[in-house]
Amino acid sequence: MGAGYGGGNGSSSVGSLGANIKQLSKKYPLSGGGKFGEPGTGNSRVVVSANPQSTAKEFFEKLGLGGKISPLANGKGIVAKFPDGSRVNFRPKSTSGGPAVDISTSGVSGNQYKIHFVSESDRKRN
Amino acid sequence: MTNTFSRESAQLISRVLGQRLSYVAGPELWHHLSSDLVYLVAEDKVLGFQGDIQSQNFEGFEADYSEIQINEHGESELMEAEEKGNLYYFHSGEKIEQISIIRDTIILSAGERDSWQYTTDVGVLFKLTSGALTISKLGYHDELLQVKYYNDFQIGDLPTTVGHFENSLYETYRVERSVLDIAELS
Repeated sequence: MGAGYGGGNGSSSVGSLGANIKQLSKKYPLSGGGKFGEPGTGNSRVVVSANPQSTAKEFFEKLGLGGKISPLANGKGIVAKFPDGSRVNFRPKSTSGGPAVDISTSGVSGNQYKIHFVSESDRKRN
Repeated sequence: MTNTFSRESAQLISRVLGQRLSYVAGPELWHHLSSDLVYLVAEDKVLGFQGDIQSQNFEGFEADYSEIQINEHGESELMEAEEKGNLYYFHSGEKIEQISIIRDTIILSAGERDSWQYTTDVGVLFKLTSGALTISKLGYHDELLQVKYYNDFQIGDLPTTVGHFENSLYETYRVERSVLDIAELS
């Protein structure tokens, strides 16, 4: 049986998504609104790179550091969950066709948005 | 645009009405009691809640929106949950006295008119002999579900669902929530 009323046997997860975002922003600067990438459609963001798949993986690996990582049962990706309820999803293939990372941070400054990773040529086509 | 439980799903859910709750489980259900796959096990019925996403373009662009699929098979997944110790017996033995669907309608207003509205079922509320439990979407755009237990349930305690919708100078979003008895849908 799981421990605790909130299922909170996650004390082995010592990371924080906020800290990981701060760390990753040294390489990929945040916008004024505290988000990665450039504005995309709706509330999504776009990160342009030479290799979208590997850049998306890098985002997930660095943002998910210290989180509890598990595969999605529908086979569409993986998720990293943090003790404060924040989470990061990685989908190798999203609605746009390319890889995407969903970020959902908890707290007063909570942010929920999706990052699509595209190549320069994809960006020009769209 | 609507993304709600089908009549068949509502009928499956309503089969546990009047039964005694045994436990809630999931192969990956432990961290914050959230997972994309959750099982509710009652006396002789199993209800599987599978979070998934579907692509829609009612906002004027293609995006992912979460949905909950209901099934009644989960033998191997329940075995895996048991092996991992991810079974939760809170309120076990209590009768499921009422089942309701939690339905949200998100409305985008631009100026004085509504541009679009999106109605989606975000979860299920099981009222027990004493207390309650909900299985609901964490967000409007991804697969993760959350389980919450309540010793003394109040309607205002229902979990909030988060989304990518953000207000701007020209557009504002509002969410209208309703709680519908399962009998109305099945």
